[in-house]
Amino acid sequence: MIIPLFQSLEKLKKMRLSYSDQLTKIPRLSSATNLEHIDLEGCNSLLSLSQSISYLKKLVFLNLKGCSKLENIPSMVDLESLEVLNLSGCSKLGNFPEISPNVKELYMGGTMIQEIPSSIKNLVLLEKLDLENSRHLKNLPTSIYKLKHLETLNLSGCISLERFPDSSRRMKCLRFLDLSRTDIKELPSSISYLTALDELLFVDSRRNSPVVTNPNANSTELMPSESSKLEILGTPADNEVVVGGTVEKTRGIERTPTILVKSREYLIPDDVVAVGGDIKGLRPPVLQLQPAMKLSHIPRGSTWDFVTHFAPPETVAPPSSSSEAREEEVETEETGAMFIPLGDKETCSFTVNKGDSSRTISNTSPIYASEGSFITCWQKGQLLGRGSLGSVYEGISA
Amino acid sequence: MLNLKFDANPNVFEKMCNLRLLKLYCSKAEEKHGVSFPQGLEYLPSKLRLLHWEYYPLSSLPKSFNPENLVELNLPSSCAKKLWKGKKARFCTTNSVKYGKL
Repeated sequence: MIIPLFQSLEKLKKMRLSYSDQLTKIPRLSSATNLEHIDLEGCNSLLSLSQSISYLKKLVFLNLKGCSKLENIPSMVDLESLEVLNLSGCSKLGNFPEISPNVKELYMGGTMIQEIPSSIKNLVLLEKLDLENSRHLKNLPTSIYKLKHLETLNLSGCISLERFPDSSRRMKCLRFLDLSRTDIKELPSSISYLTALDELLFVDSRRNSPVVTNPNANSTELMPSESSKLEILGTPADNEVVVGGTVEKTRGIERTPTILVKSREYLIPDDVVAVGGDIKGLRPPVLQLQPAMKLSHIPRGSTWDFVTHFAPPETVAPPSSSSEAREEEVETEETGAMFIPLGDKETCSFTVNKGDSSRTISNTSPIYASEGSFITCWQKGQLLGRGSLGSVYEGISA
Repeated sequence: MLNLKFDANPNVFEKMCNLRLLKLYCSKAEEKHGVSFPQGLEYLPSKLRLLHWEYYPLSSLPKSFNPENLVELNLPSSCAKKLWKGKKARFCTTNSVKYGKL
């Protein structure tokens, strides 16, 4: 039998030995200079990797997921083509490996890693960093903000992680951030600098029913200046459902950021206002009552008189010419009622509902008709409409 | 491989010296040992470019196998312990003997 002493693997491009659960080592690969793809997922007897993989200049994809006996990884600094490195589930791996700066996707969940070195900033092309269930991970360096291409950061299940770093730098590409099931007590205010964020998951699995909240459709971008206006309207289970730690999109709307907030305590920064169910916070300016306008000249008995009748005296500046006469006519007891003149002569009125709506208009109050005649007796008719300022009813003269 | 079950001779591929693509595919896991090699496997053609063998039943590839033309090696869920047996089987390009002597 001939045992070739020097065998070449020069033409080999792809090597897949996944789930070969008796495999203890792989051959030297120094000659496999064209190797692009190595898949050793689930090789849970693999004890070591040949140092020779350090020389695979064309290697793009290296999957060592679930190689649970692997303790050390050779340096991968020189793997200049490497784009995807999967080390998740390498449960004996304790040190952050040396990785080529060109890597785009790095999966390191479920390892023994305690901290991410600040040199992670050298992975300038990194788009996806998955550290899910890194139970020993205690620290995340601030230099993570220098990963300007980072789109996905998964820290869910990092139960020892107590804080998310704070920095004024922006991660302009970060679209998905999962901080669920961590020990993070509060989010830094700089989270509002993540202007591209689509999803922020912050769910505490220790409670069975996470609060699922959807931010306003307007707040697609959490600009720093607008962060104070972010209102989270509690409409549970609309966009996202959390099932056993994974997120399933059911009726997700494209480009609408979804924020799942931890239910245990209140954990978002002070300048983010949360509103539950009904509108309870500050009203947007559009809905606020406008100040009364001054009108220069109004003939007696016009619609203007009708309007001023319902106004509290301090809000009305009587027209200059007939001010003495008009002051007698302005009733003062209707303090609950206000008005908004909208134009010069075409005015309309609103009443504000403060509790009981029947108090705001009584059918014995005098009404000025448009011709100047004086109506003293009228009936409240049917409801014409309701708005945020109150209800409008039809008035019928007797 | 359908439901074919048979024992194969160790030299079953010996006369297929021009074989370039070899794909043994199992649609169901319970059929994984459709072909068994009770006496091992002696030979695989050196012209092979694709070796795709699901549930490869042996602990290594044949000692004599020269993978110089191999482009893709797919052995998912194999029983391999080491890929190539034998202490002297080193894989090295002829012009970088550096690693071959180790």
